[in-house]
Amino acid sequence: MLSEPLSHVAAWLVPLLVALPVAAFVAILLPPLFGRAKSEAWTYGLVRIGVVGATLLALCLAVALLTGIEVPRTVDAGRWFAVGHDVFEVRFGLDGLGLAYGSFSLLLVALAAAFSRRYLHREQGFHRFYALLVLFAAGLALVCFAGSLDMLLIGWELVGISSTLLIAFFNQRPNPVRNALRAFVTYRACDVGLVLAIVCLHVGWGDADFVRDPDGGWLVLPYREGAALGVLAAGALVFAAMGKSAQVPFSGWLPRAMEGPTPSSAIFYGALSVHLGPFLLLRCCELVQSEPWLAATLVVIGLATAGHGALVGRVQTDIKSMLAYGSVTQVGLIMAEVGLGLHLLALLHIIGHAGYRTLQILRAPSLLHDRHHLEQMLGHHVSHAADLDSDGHRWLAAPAMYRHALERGGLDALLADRFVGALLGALRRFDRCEQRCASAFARAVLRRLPRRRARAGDAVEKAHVS
Amino acid sequence: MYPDLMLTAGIACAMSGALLSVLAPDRVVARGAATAAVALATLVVGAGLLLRLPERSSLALVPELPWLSSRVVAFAALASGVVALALSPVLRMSRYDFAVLCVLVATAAAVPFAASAWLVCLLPLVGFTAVTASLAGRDEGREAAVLLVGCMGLVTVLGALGVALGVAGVPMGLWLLTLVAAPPLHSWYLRLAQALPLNLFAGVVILQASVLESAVIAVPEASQATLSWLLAAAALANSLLAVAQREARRAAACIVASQLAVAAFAEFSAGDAAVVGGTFMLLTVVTASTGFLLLLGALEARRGETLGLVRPHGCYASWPRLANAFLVLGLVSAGLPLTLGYVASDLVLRGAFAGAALPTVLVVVSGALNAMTMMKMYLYLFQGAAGRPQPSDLRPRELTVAFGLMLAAFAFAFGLLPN
Repeated sequence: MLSEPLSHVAAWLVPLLVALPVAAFVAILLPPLFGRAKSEAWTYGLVRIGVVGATLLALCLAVALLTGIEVPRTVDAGRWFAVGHDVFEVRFGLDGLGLAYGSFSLLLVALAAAFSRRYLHREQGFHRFYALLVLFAAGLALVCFAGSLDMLLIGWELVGISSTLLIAFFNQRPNPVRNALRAFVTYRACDVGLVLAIVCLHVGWGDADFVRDPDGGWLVLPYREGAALGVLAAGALVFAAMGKSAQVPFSGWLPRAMEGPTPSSAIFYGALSVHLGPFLLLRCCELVQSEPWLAATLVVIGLATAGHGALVGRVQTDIKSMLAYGSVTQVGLIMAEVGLGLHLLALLHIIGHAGYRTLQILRAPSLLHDRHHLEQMLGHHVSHAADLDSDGHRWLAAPAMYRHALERGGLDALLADRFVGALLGALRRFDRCEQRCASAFARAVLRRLPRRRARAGDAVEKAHVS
Repeated sequence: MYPDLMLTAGIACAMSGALLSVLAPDRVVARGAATAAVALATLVVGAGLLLRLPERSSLALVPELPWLSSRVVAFAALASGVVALALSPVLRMSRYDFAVLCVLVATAAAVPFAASAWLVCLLPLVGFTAVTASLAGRDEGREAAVLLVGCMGLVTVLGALGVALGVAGVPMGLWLLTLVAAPPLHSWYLRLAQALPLNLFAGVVILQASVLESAVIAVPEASQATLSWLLAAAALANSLLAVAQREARRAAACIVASQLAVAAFAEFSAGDAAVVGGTFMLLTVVTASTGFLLLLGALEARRGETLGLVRPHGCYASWPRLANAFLVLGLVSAGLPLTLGYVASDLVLRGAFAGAALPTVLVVVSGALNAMTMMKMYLYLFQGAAGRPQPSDLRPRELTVAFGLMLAAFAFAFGLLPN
């Protein structure tokens, strides 16, 4: 008897869940825009309303789903725009996958927000950090509760932008700025895949909506027979997921992204943002599994990434880079699981890894502090010799392997120097050539003009004299 | 009848702004007079638009699209003209510059109503002649003036030849490619961006956008498919050049040129959604791209130098509001979700892909590259170690204008949408 009103309420809760962090974001940004500085307590209060409120709503929905209350699987919140058959429906989705990942993610964001209150106390960019954190939460909620790929793209891009701006958080140093740009370039390059997939699906199939999978009960992008564009879309989706999840050969940005504040590194690159690639592929699993070669490619990429991360992580000299490569390894394994069709395992792996890695990264600064404290008490440095002699490092004794690990597999050099550097070099040469030619032409014309003007001036002068 | 009369009155009003600013005793009065005249013109044209809007309220009705889009673009051109004038730095612009800006905006408002290919080709020359005069008066602008005269001469000859030959494809195509500054015919545009005050350059962008709105009638249907390929390639080439630039002005000019090429590509596409998307792309250029150009100008005025993109400049600490406004407008222009730019690119891609898949892929890549350059500009101009803290963040007038532009970019995305 109660199920119908509850279902009606649930339909409203999903848009509200996304709207709360957005409202908090706007409320944090507006006062500084008009020159009214607010206290840290005010900003944190808004974040609590936005993120904790969204977390509670997500948990309520999860409980409703678990207890068997009938909740609508898709919620249509209207139409944004439409031209002919091209319609943008504002559609949210509710399923086990989205609720599990979404409620867990929002909980982690809420915990990171609570942690950061003291960690960033009196930091110059306190308000900026929290504004970007709630923007990230809004993007994440949108990705988790999107009812179509179009909606997912909006959240995906918000996550990318907030992530970039948080990497550049400590903006006094040039390195965070460069690394933020590098992360953004990788994101955007791979987002091309997601945009193309959406366009292909719209043109080929008429929509990009998620529907309920009869087997698993999750909302997935359905596979439709005989659509050539489907293959292209599936390939493009895998490409998009590779960039977001730092898969080989795009893994170089992830350790560099650790330049941001520790709480944001923990939830972005240890826990949530980096898992959005596998999440996307779980949403599109039918499409990916429909092409066996694509699924096999995904497994190969995942395993290669895992191997690469494990190898390179061993020789890192700072704790954040080690943890970043640890994340790369685990996400590679998760990708392989998705490729093998082990979807539930992949989801459990995502949640387990996210929780564990967040704790590790949040603990990292105090761990260093504790170690320094210990060394002060001992009066000497704690030796690494025991670590290096362990079995895990013995195979690195081969010089070629060690060099490979130190050079990060040569992937950064391959992408940055050989590909991007060569392209930029060619473009700059063309640009210089264009500037020289244009200047030469203009100067040649100008050299003639003053003489003519002088002659005209002479003529006028002569006329006056006469 | 009334809307057309009001439109004519509006354009005349904007032109009178040019006269008033030339006759003004000093620059401050000239700017005030020009701003007031163009603002009045905007109100008149806006009122004319509102008179008929309830009858033809949707840009989705494609048969009605030329009627509505031409008026909306004219209105947006005038409104952006007001913004450009209001944000003009008095110390760096003469009375004649304000007059040139008025002429550019008035021409931009008039071009969408050109009924024949002749007018579409010749009307922009009024604005470009005024710009040439302004360039010729500056020492650093003489090279740019030569290039502009050369290119506009070429454009005129091509346009006249094309129209005389019965709207022939090749000359009209070259005319259009020169107008959107497609490489290698882009030298004039980059030099213009370097030599002119950015407020005047924004006026040139507004004029280009309004010419593109009506360029469909000047290009024969038979050559539109080839042209859409060339325009997509031009968009990509300009985006690539933008990535490679080491100077903020040149990078911004390349981004805008790329967006204009995308808008023109959409205008020539077969899909209805793409045509509507093209109009929205032009509106994005006229509002958001013009906005970030103006804010770049405001930043340069504060720094007192032309800014490069080789090292971070660290302006965030001194001017956080300026930085945030620049970021938002830049991202809107690059297609930030929930804004006008996003709607535009979404419609363009959906509409054009069915008819021209590969050119659409080029356009997608070009959009991604533009976003990268935009973020690079933000990061390198505003982040980094700050020098001496400087007090003058956006003044109330500038803040109002920047906030208004941002609001417009969001409001357009939800208020004027096809539905």
